[in-house]
Amino acid sequence: MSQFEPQSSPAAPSRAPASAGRGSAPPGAAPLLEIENLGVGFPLHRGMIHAVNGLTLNVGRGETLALVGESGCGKSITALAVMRLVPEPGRVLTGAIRLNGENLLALSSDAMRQVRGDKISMIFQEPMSALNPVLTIGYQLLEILRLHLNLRGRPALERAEALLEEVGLPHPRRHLEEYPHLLSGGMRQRVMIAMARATEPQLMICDEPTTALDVTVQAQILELLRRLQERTGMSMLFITHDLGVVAEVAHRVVVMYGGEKVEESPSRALFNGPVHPYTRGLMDALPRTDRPVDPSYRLFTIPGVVPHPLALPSGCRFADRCFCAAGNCRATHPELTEGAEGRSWRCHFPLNRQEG
Amino acid sequence: MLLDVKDLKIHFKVREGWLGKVRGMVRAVDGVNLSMETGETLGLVGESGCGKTTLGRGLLNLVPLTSGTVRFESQDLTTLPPEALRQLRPRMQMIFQDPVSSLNPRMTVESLVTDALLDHKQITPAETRDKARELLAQVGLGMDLLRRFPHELSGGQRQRVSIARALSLNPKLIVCDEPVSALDVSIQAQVLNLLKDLQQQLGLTLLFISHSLGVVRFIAGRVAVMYLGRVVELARSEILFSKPRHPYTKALLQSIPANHPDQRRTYAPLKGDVPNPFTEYTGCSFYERCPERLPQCALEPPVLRAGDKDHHVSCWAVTP
Repeated sequence: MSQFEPQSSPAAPSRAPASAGRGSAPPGAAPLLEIENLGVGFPLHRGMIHAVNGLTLNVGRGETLALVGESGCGKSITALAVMRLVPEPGRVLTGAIRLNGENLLALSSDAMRQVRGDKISMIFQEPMSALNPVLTIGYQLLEILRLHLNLRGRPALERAEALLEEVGLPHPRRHLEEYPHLLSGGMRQRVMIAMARATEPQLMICDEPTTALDVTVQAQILELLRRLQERTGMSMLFITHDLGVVAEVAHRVVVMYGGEKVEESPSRALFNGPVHPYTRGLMDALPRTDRPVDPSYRLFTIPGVVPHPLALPSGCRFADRCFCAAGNCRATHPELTEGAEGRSWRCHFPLNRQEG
Repeated sequence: MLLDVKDLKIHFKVREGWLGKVRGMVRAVDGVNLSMETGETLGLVGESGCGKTTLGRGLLNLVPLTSGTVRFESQDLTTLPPEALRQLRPRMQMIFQDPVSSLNPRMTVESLVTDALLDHKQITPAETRDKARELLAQVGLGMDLLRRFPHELSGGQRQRVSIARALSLNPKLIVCDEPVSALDVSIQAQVLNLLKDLQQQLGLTLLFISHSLGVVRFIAGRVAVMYLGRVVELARSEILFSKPRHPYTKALLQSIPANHPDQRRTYAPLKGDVPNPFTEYTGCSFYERCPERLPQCALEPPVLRAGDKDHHVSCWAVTP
């Protein structure tokens, strides 16, 4: 399949007893994850910060949904809400989050602890802060196998080695005895992925997993994630600010701005022509290497800054920075418009659209 | 020639234990030759740990140099007495990646941008307000920010203050160390355009350090690619990006994420990580990861050789 193969063993790891619903689902099946009208707020002295507002999205089985936006747009908080790990004093104000049709927000904390790990796992931007620096990699990996799969002793050790091999670590047995600081950033992220895969979860949440990595290592990790998905049929909720990463991994894309979904689209259609001016602006603001640059060339800019979360405009939240904003943009908050082919947008003057 | 670097080496001793026994050397910069003409922008790219930041600091004499020479306007900075170096400092400035840690949190924007001018007695205290206004206007900031502190500013505003501060002394050379890496895409584009405007209006010479190839493509006229303390390829920007010759540069360019899902790669172009900088090499430091290696590469380190159109490559597998 790829030149990655020689590094990893073709032998698939033994299937864990807890794995369920693996492989691709029949077409038309219900999505794995459904987020409906999610609102997350942080009460402060000066008022409530609505970090996420009325967000609806779903992630299909075996699908990668990219959640894209700039800092503060609510993408990471959405991921934490799915894990029910929104930091204090934040809380989920509205909506439902369903995994396999079961509302996660209604589960007891004990039941939720089982879901985390068993069915959903998460990898982070900075693997060093997610790994315990004073425990060996083996200890941390075996702990997961013991707690979630009740695997101990020899079978646990074999499974741990197989997991490390699967993510392309060259010497699994040796790495089990090593401490995280001995590994490079890319290898640490591979360990994180092995830990996240340990229970063969149905959904892996990836929060900027390659942002801290160098570009050659980023290419390796993105390839690894795609290969794991092909092999296991897991779904991914992929949070990133980088449209290049989106083009590499996503099947579908949700673009967020100011805590709201402003555009949703299949990935290919989005890159063929975004509908929301914000998405257009993000794409055009990226410096590219494949175009000649002359001295007078300037990047497209989105003027101004993201609105303060306590002073969100009453109309369109992007209106003040938008190149095609007109009168009613500042007055009326646009509702989400559903278009054909799974596309939707929150804009009064969508680009490249006659409908809506 | 504004800046001329000859065989610059910056090595750090690595000590261990409480007796501080020297365990090894990190060759952060290991024999770099570079020159810059007045008014040009040289991009310096490479992955973390390749020595690009250390090289940038070394050029301004902000880290102790192990050997080699750095000539700025024909004066050798390595042998200049401290007071003479101080007199020269206004002509070379630096902009850092993280303005939160490079701007004093207790100083207002007004004092941040005029501090260096007062220090070098180029203005009197009575003139600070006017000068601060002028500098802020130059970087596109409003007068309303004069009394603000860094924590009250957005990331983009802070980086503009850093730029104003660097410009305050009318420098010839500015070393920009990842100045837009911490910024969101929309703000990054604003700051990049500003830097390009200023460079052209004021005839500045910029050494632009970045890990982002797109950013370097946009701003730099020439680009140097570093790997483990050495420059492996140096060429005019349009040549480097369209016809890269060093296997590492090729791999870097192929590793850039796609612009469209239809252009996805099927495999990662380069295996492994950047090796540990302690490692000593008899041959080429890229040997282990190199897809084009030859037997002789393991034996003798390649040297940077000039080819057509000032295209320098350091690789045995490439004929210049």
